[in-house]
Amino acid sequence: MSNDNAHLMMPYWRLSGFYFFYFATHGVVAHRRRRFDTISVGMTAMTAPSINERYTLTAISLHWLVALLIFAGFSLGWIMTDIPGLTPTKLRYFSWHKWIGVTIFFFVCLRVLWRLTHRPPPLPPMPRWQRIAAQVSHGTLYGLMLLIPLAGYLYSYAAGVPVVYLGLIELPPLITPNPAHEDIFKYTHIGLNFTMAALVIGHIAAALGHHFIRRDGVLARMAPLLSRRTES
Amino acid sequence: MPITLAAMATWAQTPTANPGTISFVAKQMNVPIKGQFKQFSAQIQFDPARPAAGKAAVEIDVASLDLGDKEFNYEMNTKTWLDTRAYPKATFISSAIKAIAPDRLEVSGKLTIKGKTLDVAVPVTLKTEGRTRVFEGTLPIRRTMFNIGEDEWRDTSVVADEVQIRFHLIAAPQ
Repeated sequence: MSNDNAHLMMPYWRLSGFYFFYFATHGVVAHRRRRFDTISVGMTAMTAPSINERYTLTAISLHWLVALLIFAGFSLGWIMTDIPGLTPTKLRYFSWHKWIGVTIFFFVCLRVLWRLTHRPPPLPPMPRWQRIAAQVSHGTLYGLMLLIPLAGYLYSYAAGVPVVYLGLIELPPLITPNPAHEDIFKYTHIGLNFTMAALVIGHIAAALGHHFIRRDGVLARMAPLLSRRTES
Repeated sequence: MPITLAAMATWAQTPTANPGTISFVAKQMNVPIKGQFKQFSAQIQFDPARPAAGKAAVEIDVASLDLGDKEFNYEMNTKTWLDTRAYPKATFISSAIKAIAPDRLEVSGKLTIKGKTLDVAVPVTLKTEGRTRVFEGTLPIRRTMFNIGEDEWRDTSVVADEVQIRFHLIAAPQ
């Protein structure tokens, strides 16, 4: 799918306006550097973006909801483990952290189901290695979003502490308490978290790179508000 | 059946062999936190024919508490919680035993934890297993009444006030 020839389908009297807007917003250098990308962005300024160019509203909502929960869960995990000794705040944070983890696990299950039944919008042309890198890192992120809460859950049960979701529902113990397993799950949970942190940094860097350097609309597929604001 | 050993048969638990268990469950934001006391001893005199004449004394070595986590165990020994240096023993001494049913007793007595003594009544189930007797039951206490969890822990929104003490005492004839 390409918009390269979009300007050819336009009445000639509108072309000057098209190019004025296009070069004013993107510049000649950017145009030379990435012909495809800038034209496609320029086009969306004049015609409404077609709905299949971005993720479904469900996918977008789940993505940002889970992103927010991951940020909250990670920060809380960091803060609570830094609190020395035993305080009510520490215990409260531990409970909240576990509730957030369970919530993430639940929403990520929904996300995986949704992703498997709904094709994501196509990517703009890019080198093969980048396409593969995107697929591998997205797949890994999905895996980590499920494995990290699971490892934390098992860590809690290995330590003999049940997870009571929202202080209401005691979740099933998948394993019996065992101090030897406790450390395994603990370090798995922590290790996977730092792996995920590194991947998320790469994920954000790639998204910002696509948006501000390449301007190819990749981020707008997941952030529709952003695309409207910058292009109109 | 070893029931008619004597009018006042003494059933004393042997601390080294298999004394049974004394454990507890506290609730932290509805999460059951289980712990147990690894060292304790009990002296029980009981004759089923004359339950009212029975006597029981239980002594717990509080510092033997195990929550399954080193850091938590350490904290429980501090002044804020059980202050085991000042109060190394928790005791229960019966004052009256009442038979409710052939296998059910109500044992009243004085419970002392962290230097505070309160009157309690404990429902006890009695089982005879060969030549041993098992006294089993659950005693709910309010931790704040014994000053367990001082200062910021007085607030019971994180750690609930009620703590259930569960005992399973095995007594062998002496």
